[in-house]
Amino acid sequence: MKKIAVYRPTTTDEAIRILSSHGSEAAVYAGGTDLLVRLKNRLTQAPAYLVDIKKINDLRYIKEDAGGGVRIGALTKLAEIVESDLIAQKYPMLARAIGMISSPELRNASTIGGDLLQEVWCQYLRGGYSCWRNGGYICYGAIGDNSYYHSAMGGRLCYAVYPGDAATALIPYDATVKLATASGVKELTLEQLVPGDMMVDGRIQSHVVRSNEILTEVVIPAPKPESRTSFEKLRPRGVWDFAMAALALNLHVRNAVVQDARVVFGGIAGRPVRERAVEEFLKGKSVTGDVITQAVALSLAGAAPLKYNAMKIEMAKGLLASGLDSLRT
Amino acid sequence: MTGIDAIVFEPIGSLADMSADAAPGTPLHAYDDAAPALAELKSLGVTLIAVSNLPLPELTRFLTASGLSEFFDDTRSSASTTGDPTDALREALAATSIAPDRALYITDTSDGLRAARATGMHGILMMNDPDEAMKLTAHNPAGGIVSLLELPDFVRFVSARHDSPH
Repeated sequence: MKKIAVYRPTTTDEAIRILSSHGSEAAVYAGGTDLLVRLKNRLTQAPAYLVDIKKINDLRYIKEDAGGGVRIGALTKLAEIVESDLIAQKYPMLARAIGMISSPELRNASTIGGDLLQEVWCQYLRGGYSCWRNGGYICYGAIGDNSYYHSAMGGRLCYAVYPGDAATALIPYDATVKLATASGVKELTLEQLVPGDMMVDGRIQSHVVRSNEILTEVVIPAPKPESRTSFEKLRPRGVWDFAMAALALNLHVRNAVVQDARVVFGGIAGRPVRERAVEEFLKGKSVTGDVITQAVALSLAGAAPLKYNAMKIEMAKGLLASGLDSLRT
Repeated sequence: MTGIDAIVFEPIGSLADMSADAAPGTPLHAYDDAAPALAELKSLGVTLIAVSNLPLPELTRFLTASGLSEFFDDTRSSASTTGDPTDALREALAATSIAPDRALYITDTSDGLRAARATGMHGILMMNDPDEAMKLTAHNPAGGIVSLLELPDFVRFVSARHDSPH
């Protein structure tokens, strides 16, 4: 493992000051289930300075706000979200999605902030290849085995899939996040947080958080009373594995007619893919067999599979059919 | 890489495909993404050069017919000099006063990668065919692209990585 220095700030301000002084050589260390693996894999892009934020006391909570929404501190463990009665009651789809992440052991260690901002799990990056994210100028996933960890929806420079299920499940609830920055608090939607390959501080990453910013909180608005949700995920094994394809649905239904819809695919692109064409199509309709067939035909028009991953698109379309079927009106 | 001032293209393979079994004289057709990518590169101030082993009249005819000739600052044929692409690359860089280590050479052949290395340029694989491209990575390209539309981002990223404080 490369030699590292660890800081243990006790406030967010102190953490930001330390991060600012080391630039992209430093990284926030919370659950460690991604960061420590990158260090053990001796990746060129792994940080030399870890800013351990676990001593910051006010970032681990799940609480209801005055408007009936819920706020989750970034250091909250995934297991705590899965076990939360408040989350189960208000956002059952989120609890299900997070309960399907990895394994119980890792959910006990991983934080919601870490899950949202995790590095991609492309086997070439993790294997130390000199790719776009690891000091080089090439994407090996675009030409090698791209059956699992790579985008079937095109790419920019890096073709790796964004692996976080939590973001896929939070977008349908119109969740936002707060970032602590040197110039104050920044608020972003989840879609703004993880737009896919971005050049940030001289690096390519899936999210827009700069090297001296800290994700502090996830804010989920109060759920609509007549919403129907579902989350499904296809993966090689029933635990541990990342999604080959995932789908989060949130339909606001009144009198058997869809008033509003959120349709978000995970595991198939460099970002969670919000399928706006299907969302618009579903509005004003009852979810019937015919409507499901048409929605599936309409979906993922921008698919651009690589040599070995066209099945991801078929899987995603299958999830859309079964997900809508489970929410039939 | 510290910055990119110029990009040199071998048009066959990097701007247009020519199948191995094409009959002699078969017209070349530029990739759909060639014109928009070259236009964006020009807007970034990148010098664009075409160096080919096609005879110069044929190269000129292809670039004109494809609507690409307006983007190029220099066009050269190795067939009209020594036949060695390395010499044509050196001549093109000298004519445009570009330092080799500030230039990319876009190619889809091992000979192209060797020529780039011999001139001190950064050889970038045009990864048209995944299997062939994977084999060519054994020749240690400086980088690779799947689409010409990646090149403007390539230029921006090299600049951003170099300018980053750490």
